[in-house]
Amino acid sequence: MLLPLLTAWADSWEGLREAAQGITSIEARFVQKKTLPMLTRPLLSEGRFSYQAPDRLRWEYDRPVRSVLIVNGRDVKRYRKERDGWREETGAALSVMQTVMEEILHWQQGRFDANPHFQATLETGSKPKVTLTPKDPAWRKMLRRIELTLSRKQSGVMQSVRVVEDERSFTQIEFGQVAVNRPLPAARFRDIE
Amino acid sequence: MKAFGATFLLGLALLAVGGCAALPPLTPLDPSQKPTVLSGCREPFLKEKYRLVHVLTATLPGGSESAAIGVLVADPGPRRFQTVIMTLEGWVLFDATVGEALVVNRAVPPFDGRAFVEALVEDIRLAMFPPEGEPIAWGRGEGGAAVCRFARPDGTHMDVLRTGEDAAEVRLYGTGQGLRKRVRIGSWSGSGPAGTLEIESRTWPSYALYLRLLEQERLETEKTLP
Repeated sequence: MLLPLLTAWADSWEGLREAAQGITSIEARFVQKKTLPMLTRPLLSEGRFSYQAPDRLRWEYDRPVRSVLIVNGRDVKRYRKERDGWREETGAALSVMQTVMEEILHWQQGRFDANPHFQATLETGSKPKVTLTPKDPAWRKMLRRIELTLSRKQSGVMQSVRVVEDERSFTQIEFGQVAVNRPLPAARFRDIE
Repeated sequence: MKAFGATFLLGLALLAVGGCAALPPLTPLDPSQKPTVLSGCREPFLKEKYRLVHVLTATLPGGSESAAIGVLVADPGPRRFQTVIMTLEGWVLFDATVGEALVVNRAVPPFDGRAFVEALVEDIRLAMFPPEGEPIAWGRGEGGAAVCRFARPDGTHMDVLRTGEDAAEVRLYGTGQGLRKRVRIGSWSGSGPAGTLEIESRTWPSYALYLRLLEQERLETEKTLP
């Protein structure tokens, strides 16, 4: 009886928004594979992801570099582990990531059409997918599209993200060990460790 | 009028002296040591084409810091390289190919500025490629290190210091002979690339880069067509 309900969530924008409203928290592990023409094999990164509705995120890498990016409302902070302890980052790359993290928050809230710079399309079927394509040609030079593959098994959950810069340069992030709606400590979105 | 002219010239001379620094003195060594010293000065640099992946930390004026991943394919023969700098999340900030010409394939602001590109190209050349030509001087320098001094076509000078068994330092002196950049090359083994690089730029905007090698792969050097 539950199966049709689960498979239906990703068949419409309304279904996606409703499913997102039922999500209070998500925890997952992820593997990130960066593919570039100048790399013979993808560059692998691994880490953990936590989300607390409506606007808290923790994006943490275990390797190759230990780093933690924490979004708490409009406050974005990033820390990096050095030999002598954790160091806060304040450079230009952080402002790029601030924009990216805002976008991820929109996705978690089911608001795939929230960014006016992107055209969102929904592909239903056995592998439901949201594709975000930049509207501005200047953006398209930097980013062809973002593909968000949705889970058929877990309502409101993303299975993978693929950021396509061009056909030979892309980032694939696969989520695993996903836990939904478990209570998360507030410290996870405040403290580094 | 003559007195004014002499004073003006003296002032100009004093200004010129004040604006310049002298290159550090080198103590002559036994000429029989020349081949060893010269080959030692070429050791810290790439000898073959490599693909390198670094984690790099940049410290900018005001103390702001950020980390990124750098991918570099560098061929010391033709002195060509391609480099990509991306955030830890994989967002490419900068992508350029440098050979006879510089081609910027992608640059996200503020990494699209001319000063950034020129500094990056110079840093990679200093850290990866051995100096061109023969040294104009060699000897013992600061701290007893063996030093090779190269004159560059643009009027700048470059010193390569062997500071340890697997450690070296490259110093770039400007046309006024003041120290512009310092590259510390460390932890290399045999003919492989350095495990760490520390780059310090003293000209405005000053910055420091620390690179730690994550991955390395030796590549076939491109064959030049007859």
